Amino acid sequence: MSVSLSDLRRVSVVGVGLHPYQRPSATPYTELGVHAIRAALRDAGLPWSAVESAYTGTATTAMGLSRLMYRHLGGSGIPMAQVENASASGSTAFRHACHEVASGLVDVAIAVGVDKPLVFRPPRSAAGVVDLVGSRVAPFTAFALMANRYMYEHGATAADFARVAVKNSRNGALNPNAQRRTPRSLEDVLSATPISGPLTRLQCCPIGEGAAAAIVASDDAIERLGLDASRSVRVLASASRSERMHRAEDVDTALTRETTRVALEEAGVTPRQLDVVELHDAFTVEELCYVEAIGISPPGAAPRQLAEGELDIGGRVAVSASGGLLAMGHPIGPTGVGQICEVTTQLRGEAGERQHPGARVGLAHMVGVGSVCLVHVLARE
Amino acid sequence: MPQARISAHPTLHGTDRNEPALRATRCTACESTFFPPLRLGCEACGASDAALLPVEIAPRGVLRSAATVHVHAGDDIEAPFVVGEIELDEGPRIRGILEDLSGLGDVEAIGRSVEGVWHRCGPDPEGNEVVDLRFRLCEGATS
Ligand SMILES: [Zn+2]
Repeated sequence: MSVSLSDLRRVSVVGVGLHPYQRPSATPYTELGVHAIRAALRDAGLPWSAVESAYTGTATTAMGLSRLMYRHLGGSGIPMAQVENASASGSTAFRHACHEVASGLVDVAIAVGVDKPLVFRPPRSAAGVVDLVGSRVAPFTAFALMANRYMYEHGATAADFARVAVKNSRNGALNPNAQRRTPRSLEDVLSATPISGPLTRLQCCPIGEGAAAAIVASDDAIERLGLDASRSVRVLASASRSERMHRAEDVDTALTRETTRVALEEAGVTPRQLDVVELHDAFTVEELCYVEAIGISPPGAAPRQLAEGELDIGGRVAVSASGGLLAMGHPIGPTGVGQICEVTTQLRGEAGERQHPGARVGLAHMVGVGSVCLVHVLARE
Repeated sequence: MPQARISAHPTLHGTDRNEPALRATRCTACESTFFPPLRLGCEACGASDAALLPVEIAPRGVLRSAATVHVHAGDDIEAPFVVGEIELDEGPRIRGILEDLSGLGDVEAIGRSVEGVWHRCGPDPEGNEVVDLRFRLCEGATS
């Protein structure tokens, strides 16, 4: 019989840490990763020797990269492996770390996301799949098609998409770990270099480098190791689904709806109860489509609710309080773990200037090329 | 001497007939149709290669979305150009290059019927005419 995370023993995030997301530099990935891991250990109040298992979310750097990074914490011989799932690599690493603790195999596990944008090899070319458009359609054009379809269905305007970038740039400006820290006006976003359809450069996320780490632990470990239980954040649900043949609507939107439904049901949470949401806003249109697919906004209502401030920090639900992929950045492997760091920080009430008041329940969502979708629900109890 | 017409992507479209046609796959187990053509097994029902038949389908359908592209990595086309997402009458949802939108904006063109046309890429070294398949709006047609 299959079970879900909620049927197993409790697992909580006890420590988070980041290396700021930044433009590609000469910094080795090992330095990015070790910085984030030490920050997470410090945050948890744990020595590296307490960590029993490590999952590294990474997609664009090098094969078998884990040990050269973890050895700097003191080689402890623990199991470690890379988890590659495109943009959702970090989210998937986190999911496996949670499963290992929840199942009782280990008491403390770490999920680390680390990447430098060195190697991008699309699976379609390796599979020998040829189509009529080839490299003339980049990911941003796939999402430009999504944007124009949304305009057709809901009468949205170019400014409706641009407002997502305005909000997320404002949030990112408050995040010391964000790659883009300049707040942008509606005029800035609309007049930026045109890329595809209604999308301008400032409506497309920057792909840079960075690292993020999240340590998860069982209740036993929290007690045995004397961790601060009041700062631990419980993982209520982990859901992961992959694309099936959808005829009716956009693939990533349909996949988001399906995966979120599984996660919220497992968590026993309704969309209305969400306080903070980090989602895959690689392109502005995605935020509008996904908040509707998650059930935060009714179909077609996201632009109005965004414009009225409902999705702001301090609004009904803070969406991408970190700045999201658009402003915090999207270094691929780290991104999904970075979302867990932000949600955890928000639920602890430790987000400083960008704190969403009264945050108690949070959701993290990523999609990855393939397509795959990962959703986690966290709560402060 | 008349030269032959050569397909730029022979696995995707044939030039045996005058009318443009797409090379697709039909699953005899579940009747699903796939473009680009599919081998190894059916995505809809899992039937093996033996159930997958090559078929030619008409490049006709309805424009689900369109976007004017300013930035791309292709080496054989000048931006800006328009990419369309098309629901083919035969089932598959595909993407193709649109020749032009007859003065319509991207969003205004959505919902219109489109059809495939040969786009001349130029002669090959033997003087044959190389063609690619693009799309245009059907005249006066709306759906
Ligand atoms: Zn079939």
